[in-house]
Amino acid sequence: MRQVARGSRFQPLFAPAMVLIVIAALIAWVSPRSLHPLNLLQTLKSSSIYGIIALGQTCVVLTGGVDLSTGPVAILTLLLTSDLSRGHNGPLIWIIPLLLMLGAGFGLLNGILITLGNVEPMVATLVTASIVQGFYLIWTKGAPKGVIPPSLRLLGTGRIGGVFPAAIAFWLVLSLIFLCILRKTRFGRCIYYVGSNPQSASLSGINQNVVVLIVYMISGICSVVAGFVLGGFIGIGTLQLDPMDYSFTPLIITLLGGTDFVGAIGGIEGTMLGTVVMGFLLNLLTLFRVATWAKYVLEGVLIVGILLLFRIQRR
Amino acid sequence: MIRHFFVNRFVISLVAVLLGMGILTGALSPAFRKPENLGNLMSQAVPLCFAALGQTFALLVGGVDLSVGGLMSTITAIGAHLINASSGTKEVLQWLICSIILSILFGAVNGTLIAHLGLQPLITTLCTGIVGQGIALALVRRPSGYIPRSVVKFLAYEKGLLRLPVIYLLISFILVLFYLGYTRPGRHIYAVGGNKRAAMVAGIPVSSVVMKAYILASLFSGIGGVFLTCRLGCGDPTVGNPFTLDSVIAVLLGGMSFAGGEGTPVGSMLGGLLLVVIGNALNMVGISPFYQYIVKGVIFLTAVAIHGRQRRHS
Repeated sequence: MRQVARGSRFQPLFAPAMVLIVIAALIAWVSPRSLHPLNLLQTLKSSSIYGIIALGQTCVVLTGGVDLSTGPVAILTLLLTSDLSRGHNGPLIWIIPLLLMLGAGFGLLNGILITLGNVEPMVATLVTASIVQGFYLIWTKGAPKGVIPPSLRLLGTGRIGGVFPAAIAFWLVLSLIFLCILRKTRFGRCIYYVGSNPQSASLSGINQNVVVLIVYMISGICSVVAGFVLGGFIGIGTLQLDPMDYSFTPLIITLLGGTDFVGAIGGIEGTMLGTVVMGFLLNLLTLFRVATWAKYVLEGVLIVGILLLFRIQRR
Repeated sequence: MIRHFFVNRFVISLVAVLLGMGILTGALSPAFRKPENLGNLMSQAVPLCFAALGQTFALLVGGVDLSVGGLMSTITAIGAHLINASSGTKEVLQWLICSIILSILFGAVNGTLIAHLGLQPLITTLCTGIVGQGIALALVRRPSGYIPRSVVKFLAYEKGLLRLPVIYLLISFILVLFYLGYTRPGRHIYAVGGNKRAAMVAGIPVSSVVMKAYILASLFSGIGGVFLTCRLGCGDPTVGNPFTLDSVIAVLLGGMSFAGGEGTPVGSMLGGLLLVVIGNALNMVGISPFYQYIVKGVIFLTAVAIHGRQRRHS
């Protein structure tokens, strides 16, 4: 029994791992020097923000839903943190809990719309995305103010021991926590049950609505946390970033990690791998020294290609 | 069938909301009632209504088309490349043919990946949209080029309240109504969206119907891109972006659902019109455009909440 369980657990990781090896080989072929560990860490650092959002997104996708409001919530965090703190560490004591609660609140809104309002997840989260965007545009009046406090800057740009980027360490710790929650706790198993068969889950006494509500709240909180790291990276509040990029890229990472829209297939270990794949993919495109436009084209084509491979492998 | 398209609760409530909004804004702002603004409103609505008409097909077969924005941007970029102040009808026709071929190509790629290779519509069309964005950026880096109204006369002629794009939109709308309501392939689209298995068992070629729906979806959003370019007068690599989600919101307001097989083209057109009227009305009353997001969200929320409640009852 144990053997079978293990096999099924690691099988979904097979295809993403192969893709990673191929991309790494391509990088080695194009520019052997960039396989240097320091460069690889740099690569991972830039995708760790997406990776943090993808943790919450994975939980959502595992229940058979999708959360498109993650990007706007992350941007909201960036803007409010810089505006409210104005570069001082002190106010973070209340800003961080406040924003985490706000993120959970938007997640709760998503969850309520989906469970009680019977609204499709994509629709509900798009509504929330629109409202959050309106909220931060009205708040900043189109002209964001302030800078990110130094302690958060440390999270985004600091290096542990002068080498290992703090952002990656943070992402790794969060991933491991999520891994434990999903694999080892009752709640984690509930997510899978609800995703695989909502009816039998509720027949066996799982309160499906509560699980879905919590999952969307987790996704909201993850977006806020990613927003803090993003703030650490950028250092100022800005409206120049495309909010939907921070919704769609984590979703792509989740899918690249082998988690499937049908629910209950895949998991955090896949998403961790997916984050690395995404980082390498973007790095590879940079290494090819192609123009911006070709990067977009290649990104689209490569992602469709990879997902197609997964599809064929699963058949 | 056509009667059912026009008389259903979504269409009635959308017309009521549009009328209410029109009367309220007209009372608050004299500028809103001026014929110039009404004409402006009509021209503004054309690209979004075309995109919504396209999105209707994607949602009818239970999918979604997120490549709308990338495709529309690409078409404006191609226009800026092919047409300049000294070009004549020949260049415009070249551009039109290019745009239509490109749209069909986008639809065919989406359709093949989704219908024949079994990929998820959401992520597939997102990726083709990214590719479209790339092509647009390859052609123009920033808003540039000059496409004068006089060159694209036969597409965008305007005089007083006569707006040629609106007439093209109405013709297309009537064709879509007829197609979806009365022809065999049109009814197949509803059948496939309603229940894929049942459609398959009934002998409907499901994959090719889905494929056709995505081609039509891209075709109409491509035509929307053409009229957007005429209105814009230049090429802009990011101008299409808002149309992706706006077209989805428009058709959802019009009574469609992601489950497929539900909703009508009438609702989609009215949904598109409502979004444009909201934007215009807020501007005319002098409310910051930033509030549009919230207003759209709240209206949308009300609509889907009522929709969800009613569907559960039925």
